[in-house]
Amino acid sequence: MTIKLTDDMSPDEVLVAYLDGALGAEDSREVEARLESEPAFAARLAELDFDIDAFRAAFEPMLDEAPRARLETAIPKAAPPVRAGRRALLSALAAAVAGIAIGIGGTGVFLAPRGEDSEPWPLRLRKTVASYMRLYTDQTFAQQGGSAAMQAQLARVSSELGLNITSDAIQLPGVEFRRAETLNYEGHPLAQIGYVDPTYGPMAFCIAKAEFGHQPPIVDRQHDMNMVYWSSGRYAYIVIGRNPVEELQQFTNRLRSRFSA
Amino acid sequence: MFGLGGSKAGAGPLAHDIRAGLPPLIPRLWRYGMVLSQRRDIADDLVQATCLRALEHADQFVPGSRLDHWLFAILRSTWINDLRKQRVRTGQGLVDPGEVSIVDERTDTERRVFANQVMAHVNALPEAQRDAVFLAYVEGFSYREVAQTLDIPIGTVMSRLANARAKLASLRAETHDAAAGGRRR
Repeated sequence: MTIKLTDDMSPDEVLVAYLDGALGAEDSREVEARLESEPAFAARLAELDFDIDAFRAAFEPMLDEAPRARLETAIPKAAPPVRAGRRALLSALAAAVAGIAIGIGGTGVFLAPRGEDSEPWPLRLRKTVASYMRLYTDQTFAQQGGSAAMQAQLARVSSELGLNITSDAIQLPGVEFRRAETLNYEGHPLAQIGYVDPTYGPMAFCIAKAEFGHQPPIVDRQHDMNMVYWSSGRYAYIVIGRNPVEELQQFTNRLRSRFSA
Repeated sequence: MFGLGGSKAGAGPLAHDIRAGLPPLIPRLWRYGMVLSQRRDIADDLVQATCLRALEHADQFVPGSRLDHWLFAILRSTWINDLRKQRVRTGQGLVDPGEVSIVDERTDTERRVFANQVMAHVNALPEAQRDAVFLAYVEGFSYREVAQTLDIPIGTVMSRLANARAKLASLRAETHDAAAGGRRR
């Protein structure tokens, strides 16, 4: 497709379209005629021109800088989920076979899937969180005690993380807060605030005490679980579940406004 | 044309083909992420988000059209709609010059100097111009392809490229004058 010369094009636009080979034969001839007869026009052409091949070559080394292997492994292997169910059960069985050790309970310590130690910490954390979240059922987040017990859990988690986590701050629309506990990941305290969504099942808001600096929310997908993660100062946050990404993003917006430390 | 409408599960043969087509395109996607964000960590995240969205919206890919162009459009819309706003909102600014210049150490000095200069000049362009220049002159997109990817009229592509070339010309002239001045002293 070629560009047609029009009266409203500036002289620079005409020259650039000519340099870029975007004009048709007739318009190109018209430009060339002007270049012959107008020295200032020709001088401007020379100013605007540059060596495109050298320009392109300047960007070549950047291709080799891409962390290709790491990004390739992050491509989701399976199609995004529609609904938890039989597939989740099958994944859970597959994970058990693959030898992932899972600790569930108040002082649970969980281990990363084997062979992934070389990955960056934030990615490892997300994968690990996803690998155990997908094994959870609604019953995993069964309520333990009434609202007083839940307040006590939040108080304990708050003190272990050094972050004030109130029951108001963790309320999310449409999902029910069930329990809060602190886990430990590679020496970092990791709060897990568990919810149950009536449609999508277990969902969690995780807070790790770790300095990643500021990082805006990013959508990710690991082990068939959708998640949004971000970090802010001394803490990294993950919202994870089988909920659609859009819903997790809405939760993220609410939680971010409440946790800015 | 490259919009992302309602979300559907990305199962089926199309998602499978897209997944197979992604790995070889990762370096180019990452480079585009670097040109837009000028930060490695954000470029990483842009590529990850692009892969995820492409699979989620696989049903919107038109078979027979160019996968690379479709992915570039997704990456760019992710940058514009999500990451850039958040980056500005969190007060981090957009340029971190320490992360910008990537030139292979093995390149000989003259070429390295030239490449660094090209990078510096391109990074000095306003983002809209930098985006168009990169797609047109580095990726070799036609005017129409640039217009589709950036979702702007072709006339706007022309004016951005003309303004960018004018700015690059004046930066080259400044650099040249400075170098000549340095030699005279």
